[in-house]
Amino acid sequence: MANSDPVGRDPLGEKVRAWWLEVLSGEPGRDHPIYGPNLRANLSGDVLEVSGLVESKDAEEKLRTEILTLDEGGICQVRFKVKVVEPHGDRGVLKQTIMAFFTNAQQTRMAERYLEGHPGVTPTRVEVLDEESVVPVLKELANEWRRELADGFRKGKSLLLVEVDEVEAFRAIELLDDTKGVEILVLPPTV
Amino acid sequence: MKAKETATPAELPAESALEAVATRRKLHPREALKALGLGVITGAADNDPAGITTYSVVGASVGFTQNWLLVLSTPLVIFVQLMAAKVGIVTKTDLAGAIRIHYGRAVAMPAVLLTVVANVIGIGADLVAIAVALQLITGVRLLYFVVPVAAALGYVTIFFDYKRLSRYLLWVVLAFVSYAIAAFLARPNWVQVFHQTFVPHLQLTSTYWFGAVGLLGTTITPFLFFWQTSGEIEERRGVQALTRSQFGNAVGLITSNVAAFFIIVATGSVLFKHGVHIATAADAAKALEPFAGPAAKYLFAIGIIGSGFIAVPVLAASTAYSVAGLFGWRRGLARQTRNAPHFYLVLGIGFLLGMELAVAGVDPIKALFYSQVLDGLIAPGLIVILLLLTSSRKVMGDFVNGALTKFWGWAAVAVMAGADVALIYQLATTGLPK
Repeated sequence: MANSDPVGRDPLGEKVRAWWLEVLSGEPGRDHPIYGPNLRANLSGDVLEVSGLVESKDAEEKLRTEILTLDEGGICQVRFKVKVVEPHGDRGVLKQTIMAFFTNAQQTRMAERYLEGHPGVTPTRVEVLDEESVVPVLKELANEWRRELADGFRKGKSLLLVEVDEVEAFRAIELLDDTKGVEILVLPPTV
Repeated sequence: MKAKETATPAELPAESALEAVATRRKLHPREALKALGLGVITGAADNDPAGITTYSVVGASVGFTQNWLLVLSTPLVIFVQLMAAKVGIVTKTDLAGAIRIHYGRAVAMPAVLLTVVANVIGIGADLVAIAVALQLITGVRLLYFVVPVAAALGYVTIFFDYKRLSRYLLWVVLAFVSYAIAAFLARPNWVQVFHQTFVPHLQLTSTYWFGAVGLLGTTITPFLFFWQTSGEIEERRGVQALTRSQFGNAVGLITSNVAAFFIIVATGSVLFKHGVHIATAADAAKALEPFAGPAAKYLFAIGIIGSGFIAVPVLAASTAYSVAGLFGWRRGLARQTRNAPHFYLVLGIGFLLGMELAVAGVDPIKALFYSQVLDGLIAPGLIVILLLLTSSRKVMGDFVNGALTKFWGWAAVAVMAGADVALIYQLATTGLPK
């Protein structure tokens, strides 16, 4: 079954591996798929320097494991200068619904798995919809957004509906953008 | 039902989003201090070299007669910036993106294009101002400074944490506190100052209306609408932070207008009184002479350099945010260059175009002043769009504008559009000022 599905089972893991590959081939400069611009890595000679901030001890441990599994690049030494800084911002009081359009259903499913596997967001609802299956959802959520949805479906044929904590919505939107969302609509926060 | 009857009000489930965040929106003293952050940066950046020059030109050309506009513009700018903040916090989308999604490219394109034109002129004018300030200190021709300054600012904005830098630069801008001291030392007629500050005075001359449109344009500035919205998104706070954001903004903007008041009083007392019109930066610096004597030009130059270093990256970033929002590109100063290449490309082009304007040999004072007049002409249309967005229940849900915000928002449109019409009428009937 896995072979018949062209979408990778672990798109986030694949992105993380691709990121390390870029670092090891001397082309750093993209944001890390999980830690974003807070994490930097650079290979200088045979020394890999990793610096920046992560939000928990767990994340720090995961990062160390990621580095240990790197067997390319001929790394002899790792300088690990990563600090753990607990997030101090408030969590949201409300929830927010995001509707992201993708060119096709495969990309939408990849974005769905990417989002579900990401430790930075914990969506309470994730659904892949098309122009037909969106109709009942539209009635329930956002009937007055019909025009914007019609515009969205002109750009992309498939829709990912995500319900998430209101503050986490910022990160979720960024992730949907990173996974090639062609249009992202954000409904106002609700209880 | 039973649970509802026995529960205390705090335990009852909230019926609206507004109700749910009500208790979390209360501002504690410690939070109030923290809230000054973005607000002060925004307020300080509002008084960029173009703003300082505009207030100086107004003070030197019409004295204190436009002080009342400063008082009137304070609540106007506070409520306009509140609406911009709300767009960012509630919709999680920046202003250009929100306009494109809800009103289409046909509305978003001209709004962004006009802002970009005004921003690029602003970047050029502010770069000239920094170079003029360096010329004032060193005696070396200003043209030698434009390219290195633009390159350094571009590099810092793209590759470093600009916000951290701007925190240090705020201390440099404190050089302008000297305007307040100079205003007192110049011994103006305070009765006349306060009379003209609280009682509106109108003159039917194009000089007066150029000053009025420039003053309103530098106080209620289009690029700050875009910057505010994007700033809220980069801060990543929930709607419960609206009060904090509103408080921080209000403090910053009031501070900025108080500073503007003292600039006008100082220039009005020193320059207008003696019939000196501002043609060069050295003329503008003379307003500080009652306080600093021969060192006035150095004090003026330091303030201009500091405020310019804060404002130019804000203008360039705001240009990049608006263009990227219009086309739906990845954007954000927190992102690395390879993750948002188009955003950073626009940012770089903004610097290049501004630099090109700066080396084109334009009159620095005129460029600085007229860039603010252009802002004053563009702003009313953008405020109308902001009002429509933030008054739409579809877009804002329970956080739709209340009656007070709507009143001050439409008042801002009426005052600014009124000044624009008066300027056009004066120009048509009496021509350009001599």
